[in-house]
Amino acid sequence: MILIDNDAWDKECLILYRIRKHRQNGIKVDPITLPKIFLLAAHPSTNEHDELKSVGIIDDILMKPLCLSSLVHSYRESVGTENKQVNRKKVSKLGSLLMHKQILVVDDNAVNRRVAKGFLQKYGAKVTSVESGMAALKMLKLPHNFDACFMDLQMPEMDGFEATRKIRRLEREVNEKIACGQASADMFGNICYWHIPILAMTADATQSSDEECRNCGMDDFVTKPFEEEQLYTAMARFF
Amino acid sequence: MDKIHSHRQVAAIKHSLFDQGYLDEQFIQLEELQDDANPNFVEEIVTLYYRDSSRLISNLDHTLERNPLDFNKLDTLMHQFKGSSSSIGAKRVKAECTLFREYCRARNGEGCRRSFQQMKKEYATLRKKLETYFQLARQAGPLETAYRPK
Repeated sequence: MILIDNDAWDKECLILYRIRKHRQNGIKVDPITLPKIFLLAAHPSTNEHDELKSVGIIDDILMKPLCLSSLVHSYRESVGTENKQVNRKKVSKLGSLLMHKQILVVDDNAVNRRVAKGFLQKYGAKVTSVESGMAALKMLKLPHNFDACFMDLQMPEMDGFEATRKIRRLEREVNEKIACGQASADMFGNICYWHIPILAMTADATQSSDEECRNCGMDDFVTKPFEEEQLYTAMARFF
Repeated sequence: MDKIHSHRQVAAIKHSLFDQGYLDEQFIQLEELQDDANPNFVEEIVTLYYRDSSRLISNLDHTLERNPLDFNKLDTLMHQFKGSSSSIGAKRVKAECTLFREYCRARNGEGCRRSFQQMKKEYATLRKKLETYFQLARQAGPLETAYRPK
């Protein structure tokens, strides 16, 4: 915990800002362990104080003279409710799931591609994005280095279902060749059974049935734009 | 003091965009993706959105001029556009898109045209507001320079 007097604020604020930046940039660091910063003021909250609090540079403002009960109250508040703590843990969990994983994103919409890529990269994934089913097939020619694929369903020329069917066919052919000795695993990166996790990206849950997705060979689906919790639940099955 | 004032202005604009329902939670998600490696991520995405969707909008315009109307095509185009709008958190635009698709499903051409006009208004309004917002944010500069000791 850091208690700083309002009058000393001007001299110290740059250091405090750096502490805050570490909080924002370091998702790998558990936020619970970072120090809470309280400003001690003689007068009630000003606009400037509220702003400092809303951008996260300080956790709260405490009135002088300081009393134990208000300190305890503010500290408890800044540590967060049960829900907040659980969410923070999940964020770093998703980070450990996705760190360094190679992910292919397939979507014909440029904005969605860019947002999906940004989201996954935040958790340390290495993302390649392509704009069509055809391009996805080229990327997933065996052997490849991808750990998972997010597939948009509605795309012109070749939709997500068809692309997935074709990918599974490619994998089946190679797996059969390896199984019957026609080809050896070292021709295919020493992997003798190929099955890349393919997750459908749907704009809404009603867009297509679960059955339809599974019938063409998809493993699961997630809604877009991505949501941390849902993504974690889906990815935890594979990693 | 100037910088703090600018930051306050930026914060005020942002609050009003949320209060008045122009933006939703997704915009905040985008801001959380902004960091030292991607310092202008949100502005980039919004710029990409307006560039990319102008094509969709003129497509929709042309398709709405046809007689009889091809509701399936209209629905497909609008689905695309709604997806993009959703990705940047454009709440009001997204609502008009949903309405449009309802009219498509009901094969109501007049309803489609009306909601399309309304959507274009919201789209243009949001663009102006976001342009102002990003401009001010750039002028205000990074947060650390606002709070440097005097």
